[in-house]
Parts: sequence; structure tokens; C-alpha cells
Amino acid sequence: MWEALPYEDRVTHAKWSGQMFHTNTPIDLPAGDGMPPFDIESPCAFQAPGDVVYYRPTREFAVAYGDAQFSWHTGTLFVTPVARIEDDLAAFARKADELIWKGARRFVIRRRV
Amino acid sequence: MGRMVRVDFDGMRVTGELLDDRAPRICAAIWDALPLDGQATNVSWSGDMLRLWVTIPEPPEAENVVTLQHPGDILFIPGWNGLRFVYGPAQMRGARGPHPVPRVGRLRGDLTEFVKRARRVEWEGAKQITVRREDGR
Repeated sequence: MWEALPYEDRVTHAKWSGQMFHTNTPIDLPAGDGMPPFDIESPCAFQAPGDVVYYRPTREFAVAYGDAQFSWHTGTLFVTPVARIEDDLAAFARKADELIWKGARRFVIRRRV
Repeated sequence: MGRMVRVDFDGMRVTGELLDDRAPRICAAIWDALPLDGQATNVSWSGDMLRLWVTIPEPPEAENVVTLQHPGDILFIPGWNGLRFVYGPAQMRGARGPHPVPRVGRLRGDLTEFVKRARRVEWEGAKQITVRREDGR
């Protein structure tokens, strides 16, 4: 992920996962080993506000900003936690919630210098 | 056959039928509240489902409660108010899991264009929906 930065995309609000938004342009990150669904690094089914996760099958990032669990109509899915937002989330969460009303918005992840 | 409504959404119109026989009190409350006009957003836990943000006087009890929902279903969520329109794979859910809800109506006819426009809401943001009685009131 570090090598792939900066990453920019238009994000949309989750439809199945609660207070979460996700990217829409696939990005390839190295795969893990093993049998599905555990063939990813650190498979995790729970997210906390501020968690940034990567879902390999669709090659997307998702960001939790409140109560969220990465899911599809099939149910909860395993993802790889790749980062955590450590700043105060309140303003960020307000902006993220606006995605529901305003539609897609620009989103950038870059190295902090 | 239930009472008919027309649903205007993003420049198009579809027809819906209230399930008066299965959810008589809720349908009566909806009918009495028509016309309903408000913004619709996509839901965040339940898939391909639009939420119309309007206020309907709440009936005393839930009727025709279903766990599985299908494209074309019109739902009323006690305690949450407003209406939901299902346009694809969907199941009413929340942070605590599936949430059985009253099915109060069905959209009729070819929903292809409705579905196409509903899918845009995620990208373009909230859109207006107006629900009227079939005669326009």
C-alpha cells in the first residue's frame, strides 16, 4: 500500500456496511496465502471507527467512520486492516455521512511528510 | 386489489399498489398522508433500497412483517418512519442484524428504468420522490 501511494479516487457510501465508505477504482495490493476466505493478511470481520481496510476480491479500500461492518448481501466479509485514522474523527465522520445525501466525493490517501 | 399510487422519481413515473388486504392500518395511514414528497437516499445497511424521508402518522401496530424483501417492495419501518423502495438485492438490516419490517406495497410494471435511476443515487446523491394517489391527489 505504501508503495502505491498516493491513491486518489471517488468514494461512495456503503450500502450494506453501515457507517463506512469505499473506493471504486481497483487497486492491486499483494495477496496472502491459504484458503479463502483466510487467504489475506490479518483477516478481520470487525471494524472500529477510523479503521481503513482493504478487500482483495474487489481490490477496494473502505473506511469506517462509526458503527460499521464490511458486508455484502451474502453477509459479513473478511478484510485486511491496513491503517487507522488517529485524529479526532468527529469532523471527518460528519463529512463522510454527507456522502449519503450528496453522492460521490474525492478521496486521497498519501504519505505524511 | 389494493389502492393504487403513482411514484414520481427523477423524471419518471411508476405505479404502485398498496397491500390494503395485508396491512390495512398502515396502508390507510399512508393513504391519508398522501401526497408524500421528500428526498430519497440510499440506505447504508440494507443494500439496494431507497429511503424516502417523509413523516407518516404512525399506526399502532406492525402488519405484514417480512424478513425477506424483494425488488419492487414498498416498506414502512415502525419507529423510523418514511417509506423504503427496494430496487435490487436488499434486506432490511441494522447494526444488530436483520430487521423484519412491514411490506405495505408493491411497485408494478417494468422497473428497469426505475432501477437504473435508483442506482445513481449512490453516486449523485439524494433525489426527490413524490407519492400520490392514482388520481394525482
